[in-house]
Amino acid sequence: MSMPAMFSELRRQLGGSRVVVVTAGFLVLVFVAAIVGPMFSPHTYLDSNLDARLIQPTRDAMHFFGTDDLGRDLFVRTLMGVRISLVVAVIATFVSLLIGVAYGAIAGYAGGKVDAVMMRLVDTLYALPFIFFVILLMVYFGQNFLLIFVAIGAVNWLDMARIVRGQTLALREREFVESARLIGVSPARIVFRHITPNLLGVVVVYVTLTVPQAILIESFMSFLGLGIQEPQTSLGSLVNNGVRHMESAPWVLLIPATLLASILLCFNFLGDGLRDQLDPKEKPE
Amino acid sequence: MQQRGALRFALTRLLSAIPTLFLIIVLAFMMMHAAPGGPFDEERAMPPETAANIERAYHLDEPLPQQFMRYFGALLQGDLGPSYRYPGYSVAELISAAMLLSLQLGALAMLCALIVGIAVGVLAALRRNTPIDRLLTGLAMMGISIPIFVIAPIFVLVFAVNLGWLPASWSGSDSGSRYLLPVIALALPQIAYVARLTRGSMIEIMSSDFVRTARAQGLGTFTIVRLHALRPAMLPLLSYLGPAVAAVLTGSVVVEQIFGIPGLGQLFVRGALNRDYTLVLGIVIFYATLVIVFNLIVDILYGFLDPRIRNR
Amino acid sequence: MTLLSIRDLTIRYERSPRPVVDTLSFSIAKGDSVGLVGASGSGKTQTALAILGLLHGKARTTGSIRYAQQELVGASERVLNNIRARRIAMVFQDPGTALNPYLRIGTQLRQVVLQHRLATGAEVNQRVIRMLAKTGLPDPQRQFNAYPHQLSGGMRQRVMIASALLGEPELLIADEPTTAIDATVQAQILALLRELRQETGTALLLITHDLAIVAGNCARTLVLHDGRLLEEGSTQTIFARPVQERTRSMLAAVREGHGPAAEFCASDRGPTLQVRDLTVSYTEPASDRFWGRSERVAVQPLSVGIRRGETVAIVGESGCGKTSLARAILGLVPARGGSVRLFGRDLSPQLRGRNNTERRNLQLVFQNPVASLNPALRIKTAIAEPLKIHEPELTAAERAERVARMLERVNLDDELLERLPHELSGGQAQRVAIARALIVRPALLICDEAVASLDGPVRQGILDLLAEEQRRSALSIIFISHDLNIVRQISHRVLVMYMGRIVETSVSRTLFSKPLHPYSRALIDCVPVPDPGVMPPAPPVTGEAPSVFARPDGCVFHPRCRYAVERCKTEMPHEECIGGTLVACHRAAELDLSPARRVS
Ligand code: SF4
Repeated sequence: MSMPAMFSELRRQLGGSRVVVVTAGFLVLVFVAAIVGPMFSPHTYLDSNLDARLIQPTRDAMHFFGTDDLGRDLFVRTLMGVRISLVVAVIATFVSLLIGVAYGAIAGYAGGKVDAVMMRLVDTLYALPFIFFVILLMVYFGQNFLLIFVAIGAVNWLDMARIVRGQTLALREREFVESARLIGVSPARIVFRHITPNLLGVVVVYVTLTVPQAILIESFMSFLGLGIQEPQTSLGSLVNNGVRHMESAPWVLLIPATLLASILLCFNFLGDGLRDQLDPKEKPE
Repeated sequence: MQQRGALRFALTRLLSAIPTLFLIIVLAFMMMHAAPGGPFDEERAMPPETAANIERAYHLDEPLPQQFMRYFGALLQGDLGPSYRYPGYSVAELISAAMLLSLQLGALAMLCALIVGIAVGVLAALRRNTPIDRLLTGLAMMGISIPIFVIAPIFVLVFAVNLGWLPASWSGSDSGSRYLLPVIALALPQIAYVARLTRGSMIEIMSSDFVRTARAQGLGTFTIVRLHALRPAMLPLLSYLGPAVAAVLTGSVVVEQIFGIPGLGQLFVRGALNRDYTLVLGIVIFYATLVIVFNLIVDILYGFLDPRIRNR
Repeated sequence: MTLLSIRDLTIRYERSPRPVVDTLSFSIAKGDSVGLVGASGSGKTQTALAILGLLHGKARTTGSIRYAQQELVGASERVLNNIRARRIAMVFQDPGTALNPYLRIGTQLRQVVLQHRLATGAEVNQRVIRMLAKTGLPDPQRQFNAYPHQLSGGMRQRVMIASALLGEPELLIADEPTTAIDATVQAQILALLRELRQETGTALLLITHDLAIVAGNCARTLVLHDGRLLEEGSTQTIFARPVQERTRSMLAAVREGHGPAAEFCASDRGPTLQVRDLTVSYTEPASDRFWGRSERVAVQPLSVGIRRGETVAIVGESGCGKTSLARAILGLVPARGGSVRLFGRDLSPQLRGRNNTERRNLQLVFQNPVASLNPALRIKTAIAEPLKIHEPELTAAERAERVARMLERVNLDDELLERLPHELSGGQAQRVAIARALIVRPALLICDEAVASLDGPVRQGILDLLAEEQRRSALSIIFISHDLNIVRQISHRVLVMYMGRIVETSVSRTLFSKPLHPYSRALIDCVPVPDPGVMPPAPPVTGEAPSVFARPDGCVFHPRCRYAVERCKTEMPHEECIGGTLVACHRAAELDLSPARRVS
C-alpha cells in the first residue's frame, strides 16, 4: 500500500476527534521540547555545581526546574529523562510490534490447532508477573541498556499478538476473504491485500497503548535502581531521587512526577480515543 | 452429569498449569546459569582454593542438569536453597518471614479495589454520559496512568509530611493507621481498572436485548441490576483478577520500598541489587506459583459461573 | 373503545438529519389486531419501543402516545413500569438474545409475577408453569429450571410469549416475532398467538416486514415508509385496493411470482456439475464424554446434477445442511466422502487443490452483500480483482473497459466506481458482488440466501438480474433459500432437504402443485398466504427438527410426520422415482398431498 493510500485508509478507520487531537498535540510538544530543549540551555545533564544544590525553580542561570542534590540542572536532566522515555518507547514498541503482529497474524491466519497451541502459550505467558522476569534478567546479565528495551518489548508483545490474532481470525472468517479465496486470490495476496489493510486501525490503536506501557516499565525499573544508571537519567530515577529530597525540596519530586504522569495519561487518552473511533459502540441504529 | 462442562474445563486448565509452572522453573534456572560471571565474582580476589570451596559448597561445580535436578528435588520439598547474601539463612526462611505482611497488604488492596471499583463502575455505567460519569471515568483514567511510585510519594508528601495525618513510614508507628497509605496507594490503580472494566461490561449488558426485555417487563432499574446485570457484568472482572494479582505484586515492590515495609517486595529488590541469585530466583518462583494458582482458581470459578460453559 | 392512541409521534436521533419516525398517528382499539408493515429502517420497531419508553437514550421523542388517558411520552419510569407487562407487553424478534443467558427460565418469569404482585408464595411458580404450559412448551415443569441455551429457538420464543402474557396485558406488541425462526416453527408460533388472543381478547400490534403474515393475522394494516405512514386501512381493503404505488409493489413482491424468467432448455451436453455421494461432517468436543470429539454429520451421502442454464433451488430449514452442501461443492469445507465433478472432471475436495480454471467456474454470492466486499477496497478495484488473476494479459485500459461494461450489465451507475462498500446500499452492494462473481464468466453461480437480507422491490431487482444473466450466458445457478416464495419464482428444479438428506427432488412447478413428501407439503403449507380472505391453516407439523446428534432411526422425519407408520421408525426410505419426481418416503405412492386449491 502506498503511503497516501495508507493514510486515507487510516482516516477511514480512525477518523479524528478532539481528545485525539489535543493529547497528540501535547505529546508532540513535549517530545519536541525534549529533543531541542537541552540545546538552548547553558547546562548539560552532567555539570554539577556544588554551590547551587537543591535550588528552587528560577529564571536565574536558567534553572527553570531548579537543581538536584548535586547541583545539576533539573530542566536539562528532566528533558534528558523524557528523551530516554522516548527512546524506550520507540525501541520497545518496535520490538513488540514486530513480534506481536507476526505472531498474531500467523496464529490467526493459520487457525485450528496451530492457533490453539500458539494462543495457549500467550495465555500462559500472560498470566505471569513478567516484570519479575525482566528484573531477574537484569540481575543475571547486569544493567544493560539495550537489554532493558528488548525485555520490555518482549513483555509487551503479548497484547499486540492477542489483538492482531483476534482481528485476523475474525477477518479470515469474513465473507470477503472467502470471496477472495473463491476467486483464486493467492494466500499471500489475501494476507497482504485483504487482511493487512483492515488490521491497520487496531495496530495503530494498540501501538498508542503499548507506548505508555513501555515507558511505565522502564521508569518503574529505574525507580528501583535497576534500570538506567547514573549519571544517565530517566524519569523513573528522577522520581526516585525526588523522593529522597521531597521534604526539603518537593519540586525535585513533583516536576518529573507530573511530567511522567501527564505523558502516560495523554498516551492512554489518545489510545482510548482512537479505539472509540475505530469501534464506536454507540452507533445510532 | 449436570456440570460436566465445568469439570472438563477445570481439568484441562489444571493439566496445563502444571507444565507451565515446570517450564517457568526451568527457564528461570537456566537464565541464572547462563548469566556471565558468578555471584561471587565481584568479591575481592580470593584465593583459588577458597573459591573452589565456595563453589563446592553451593554445588556450582556440578554439571548443569545435575544442579537442576538437585534444585528441583529440593524445591518439591519446599527447600529453595541457601541465600548467597544472608549467610545462615535459607531462602525459604527469608520468604516465609517476609511473606505474611506482603500478602496482608495485597489482600487488603484487592478487597478495597473490588468494593470501590465495582461501586464506581456501576454508578458510572448507570449515569452514563452525565457529568458524574465523565468525572469518574476521568479519575479512573488518571488512576490507571499515574504510576504507583509517583502517587505514593505524593501521598506521603501531602498526608504525612504536610498535613501530618498519617505516619510517613512503616517503622514510624505501630498503629493500624500505618496500613492506610500503603494499601490505598496499592489499591488505586486496581480500583481504576476494576471501575473501567465494570463500567464497560455494565454498559454492554445494560444495552443488551435481555435487559430491554426486562425493562419491557416493568422491572425497576435496581431489580434489573441486581437480578439481570450484575452477574454477567462481573464475569469479565473475574478473568481480570489473575492479572490483577500480578499487578498488585508488582506494585507491592514499589510500595514496600517507599514506605520501608519489611515485606517480600523489599526483600526482592534488595536481593536484586545485591545479586543474591538464589533469593531472587526463589522469590520469582514463589510469585509465579502464586499467580498461576490464582489464575487457575479464577478459571475454574469462571467455568462454574457461566451456565453456557457449565452445562456444555 | 380506544386503547392506545398515537398522535404526531416523531423520533429523531441527535446526529441524524432525518427523523426515524415522522409525525406518525394511529390508534388501536380494545381487542383490535393491527399490522405495522414496512421495510427495514422504516421506523416500525422504533415506534414499538417508543410506546413502552424503551428507546435508546439518544433518541428524542415528541408528539403524544396515550394509553387510557395516561400520556406515555415523557412519562416517568415509575408510571411506565406500571404499564409495561401489566397493560402493554412486548415480544421481541430474536428469542436467542432476548432472554438472559445467565438465569434460569423460571427465575426470569417469576420476576414478572413478583414485580406486578400478581401472586404470592407457591402461587408464583404455579402461575409461571401454567403459562408456560399454555404456550405449548413441552414439559414446562422441567423447562422452568432450564437455561435459555438449553432450549431451541421455537421453545425460547414460546417462553418469551409466556413472559409477555403473564401480566395479562390488554395490548401485545410483537416485533417480528417469527423472523429469526424456521418456517415450520413460524407457523406454529403464529397459530399460538392467534389462539391465545382468541382466548384472552388481548389486542395485538404485529410488526413485520412481511405483508403475507399480516394478511392472516391482522384486521387492520398500517404501511410505513421512511418513518411516515404511507397507507392505513382494513387489511381487506389494502390488499384489494392499495392506493400507493409502493404498497402495490410490496404486494406484488409477496404474491405468487411469475415463474423463472429464463426458460430452461435441456441440452444433450452432460451436466455442468455432478455431485455424487457427497458427505460433509464436522467434529466438535464430545458432549457425552470427558475426552475426544464427536462427529456431526451435516450432509448425508447425496447426489445431484446441475445442467447448463438450469437453476436448482435447495430449500430447507436452518441446519438442514443446505449451506454445508454448497460450501463443500465450492471446496470451502472439505467433503468427507463422495465426489464433485465439473464438466466430467473430478474436483479436489479442497479449494487449494483446484486450479484457476476450476475456481473461476464456480462462484458464490453471499447473503450479506456488504460483508462480502473488502471494506478497504474501492468498488472498481473489487470488480477488477478477478480479472487480474484470471486474465492477467489484459491491459489496464482493457480491464477498465470490462469493468465498466460489467457495471452496466448489473445496472449500476459508474459514479459508484470510486466508492467504498460502506457507502453503498444493500441492493447496490449485492449488484457489485454479483458483478465481481460474473466478470470471470463462471459456469455455475451459487447464491446462498443471496436476497434474504433485501426486501421487496430491491429483492425483485436482484432476482430479475440473475434471471437475465442466466438467459444471456446459459449460466447454471444453485439457489439456496429458506423462502419458498422466492424459490418458486426463480428455480427450474427444487431439492428439499431435511436433516442432511434430500427428501424430494422435483420440477419446480410440480413441487408446488403436487408435492410427494410430507415434509415438502408441510413447508408449502407454512408459507403465509398473502390473502386476507384465506384463514391460515393449522400448523402442518409439530415440534422442531431434533439436533443432528440425535438423528432419528428410520425416516429422519418420522417423529414429526403425521403420516408416519410403524415401518417409518425402523426402515430408512430410499429415493424412488414417481412421475418424474425423486422422493424418499415409504408412503409417497399412496398419499395424495396436493394442496387444496386456495380460495380467494
Ligand atoms: S417415510 Fe414415513 S415418516 Fe417418513 S415422510 Fe414418509 S410417511 Fe412420513
